[in-house]
Amino acid sequence: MTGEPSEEQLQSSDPEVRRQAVQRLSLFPTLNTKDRILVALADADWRVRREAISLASQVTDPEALVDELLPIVAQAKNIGLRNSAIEVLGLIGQRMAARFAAALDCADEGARKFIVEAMGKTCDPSMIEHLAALVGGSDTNAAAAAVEALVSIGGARSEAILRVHLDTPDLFLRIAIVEGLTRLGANIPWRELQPAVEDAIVRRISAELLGRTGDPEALELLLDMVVDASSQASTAAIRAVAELVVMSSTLREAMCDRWTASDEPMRKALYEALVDGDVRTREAAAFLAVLCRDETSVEAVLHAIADDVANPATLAALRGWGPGLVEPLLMLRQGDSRTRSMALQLAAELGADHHDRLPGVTLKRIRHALDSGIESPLAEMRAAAAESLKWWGDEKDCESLVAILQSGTETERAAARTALLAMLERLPDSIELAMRKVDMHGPGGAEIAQVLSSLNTPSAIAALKRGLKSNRARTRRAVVQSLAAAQGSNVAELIGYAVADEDVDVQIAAVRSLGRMCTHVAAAPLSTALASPFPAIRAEAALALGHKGADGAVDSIRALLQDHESVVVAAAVDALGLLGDDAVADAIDVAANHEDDEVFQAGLRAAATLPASSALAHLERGLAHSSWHVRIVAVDLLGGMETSAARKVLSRALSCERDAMVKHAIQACLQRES
Amino acid sequence: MLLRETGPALSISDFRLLRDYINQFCGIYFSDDSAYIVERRLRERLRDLGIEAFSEYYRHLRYHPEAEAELERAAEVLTTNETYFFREAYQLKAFAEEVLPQIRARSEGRGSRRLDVWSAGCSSGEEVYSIAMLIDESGLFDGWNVRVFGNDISRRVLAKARAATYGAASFRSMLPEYERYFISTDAGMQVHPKIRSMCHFGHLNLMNERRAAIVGRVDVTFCRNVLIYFDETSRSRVLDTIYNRLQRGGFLFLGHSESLLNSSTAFEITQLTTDIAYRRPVPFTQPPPRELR
Repeated sequence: MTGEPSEEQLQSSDPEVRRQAVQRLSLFPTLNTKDRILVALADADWRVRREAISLASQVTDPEALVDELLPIVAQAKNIGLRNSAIEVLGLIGQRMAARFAAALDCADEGARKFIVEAMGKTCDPSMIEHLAALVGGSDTNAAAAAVEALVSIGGARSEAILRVHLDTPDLFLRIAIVEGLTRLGANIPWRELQPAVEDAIVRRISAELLGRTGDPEALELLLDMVVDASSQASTAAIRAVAELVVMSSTLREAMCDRWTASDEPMRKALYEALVDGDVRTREAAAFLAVLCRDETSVEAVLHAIADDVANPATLAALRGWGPGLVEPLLMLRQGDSRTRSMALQLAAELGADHHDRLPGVTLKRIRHALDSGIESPLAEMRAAAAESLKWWGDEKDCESLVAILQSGTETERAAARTALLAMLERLPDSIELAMRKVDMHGPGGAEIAQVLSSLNTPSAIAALKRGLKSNRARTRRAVVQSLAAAQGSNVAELIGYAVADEDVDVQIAAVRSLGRMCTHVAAAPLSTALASPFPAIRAEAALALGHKGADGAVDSIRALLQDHESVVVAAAVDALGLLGDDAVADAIDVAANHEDDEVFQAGLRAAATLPASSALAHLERGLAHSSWHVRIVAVDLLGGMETSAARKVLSRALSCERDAMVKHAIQACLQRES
Repeated sequence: MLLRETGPALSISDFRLLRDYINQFCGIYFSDDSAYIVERRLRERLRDLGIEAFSEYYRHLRYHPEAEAELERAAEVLTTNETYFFREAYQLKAFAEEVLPQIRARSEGRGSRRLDVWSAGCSSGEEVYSIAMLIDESGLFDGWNVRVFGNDISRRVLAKARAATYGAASFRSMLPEYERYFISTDAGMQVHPKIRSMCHFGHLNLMNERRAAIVGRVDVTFCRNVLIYFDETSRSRVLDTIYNRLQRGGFLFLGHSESLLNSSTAFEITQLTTDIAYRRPVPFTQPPPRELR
């Protein structure tokens, strides 16, 4: 169906034809009349009504349509039409509070709540005072609808109005207000909330508000609710307790005391939430179980961590448990290999951290568990044991770790590398001995390279150089990075060859490494790389030359300003800024007119190298950019200028900035400077 | 599974950049409070690539010659893939008992003996095989050309789906009567070759409508518990794709917590005995199937 919708189509007996016809009306504004919209809003099919709602939101004379719709909202003959009218009023009724108020005055009791609903959907703060009067009024339906509307509109004034009525004797209104304040994210002091939650029904829905009070009495109420017969109230209470106890150590202690004295139902409720709850509930329950040091929940907590539903606070609390957790962890010998491997790793870590506080027999058990782990048929257990040797490894472990480094799975190799790097300080000779005959051409070449680089002995450097001939690109890439990090003699030339490697990642690593090396040998291969067919290489080479202060490359880098790839242009602009090129202003102009945000940002960085007065104008333009991340860069650079002029620019920007993160960055800059 | 919290930190601005970029690519959306999950999961990618900072990883995703392949890998580690046989069984019951007979009648009316079902976002394949078992069990399509196609953005789960061998967790809600469709192997329970022969898998990003054409026209689409991870814009895009892939009168099943009410008016709602489904409307002008005249 294309072209103008016909009357026949708009009145077709087929709802799909009508829907498409109404949808197409938006393409022909002259046909999009108020009467047609009203007919479509009254359609028997919900899909046609939805299209009509969308169409109505585009009318050129919203006032006239609002006047037509307000009486429709008050009628009860066509419910579908009434609901559609409410939707449309919500979309187009902003800044028309007086019209809504007049309609409220004329409407009978049954209809007022619908007008109020529409007022809320406008999200227009000018409606708030009209709604405030209704919350305390005698029409209970309108009052409840007004609470809902105030929540939709939000803001401090709406919250204040709801709080005034928190002690209303009308139970249903009180429930609506508590739910509304919860959704508004209000933080209500315990004394203010207490009278409202004396009623058991209200208390059950108040968990979130109680969790935000930071009060010990609220904690007691919540802990009672954990064993509530309603699982919804119970899980809400668990989440709220978790939120509450992070507020102070006193609350944490009170919660743990209550837990210690608790009976079976409370433990059962927490355990069930930890195992069967939704993500947020499991997260909260895991945190509480760890804080309470509930040994019976350790496996379920580790399971939650494996499922990515435990937050960093839970992991920190798990470590904070200390030596008392080691034995329960060592006892986890059955079940999921993910949880067992984490248990082994955590036991080893805690054992190392609290070595002096653990009995010899426990330390022996840890060591034994690690030895068994290394021999385990399960790769996850082998990896956990290997990584844990970073705390426990001795001379005899070096050989086995090097063996894993050469032939284990990717995770095992990474674990062995981590362990060997950590052990280097205490066992350099043993590791060097074990590494003497490593195979640089096997699957573990990359991990081996990293260990050799840290060893940084002549034999290690020689082995690394051999690795450049590996037929694995991953190994060659790691060798390039490792040789550069080791800063061995004559390695720049070798890395220079890698700029011509057949693998693009090796080339990128080579270019980057050369950029970081303090040698003149690097300049030639980097200049060659400026002509690479790969944009990423050209970009890295330009940046590397910029960082090295290679003035001789200015002309070649300037030419890259015309590159068709934005990543290259951005790098060229950055490089010219770093090099202090006389013509950097041209580069900044290119960047300011480039459509890619990354180039624009590079222009800002280059502008920051100009004298303060010139820089300021460019950076101020950055604050007006449509992308938040460009504005953040501008804020950082202006903050770095530390001048009163820059400060003024930032203060001005603060008042019109809408993005919370950028706003925060500006505030941080201003505070730092003051 | 290692307790890995060490590695580069993900700043909130890098999180936003990565989140939005990945969202554009595959529709998945992460709220601010799940930044730590993104950090934890993507660290694995940084480690593999030898990248030291998330800002560098963002540049890699944008400008590296193999950026698209890396975006796929990022999406793979960020998606949740847990599923099991006969998940939301009441819905599958409605599909088997009410939808399949309707499709058979309509196809026969068109003189067609072909049934196409699409499991959009099939993860490790349990849904695809469950659907195939129900089709086989119905007996309505014996001798027909039946094709159940599953797609996912994760190559790892597709490999598992093709292997068709599952452990205990996949059978948590399967009735014993369906055990006849499995063969016991050392690696686990393997789906019977008869069922496997009906099922096909492909690597497909649901946000890529052009590529979705490989699905062809289908009679039924299952897209359950997939759109909940998407933002509104991406959801609408995927629904457009699904609509265009459905035959007229074709059915769409969403997860029990999902609704089209605010996402699309293109589908009509069909009330089934135990559930609701959505349908691509059939024009009134089309004659009804022969049996129903």
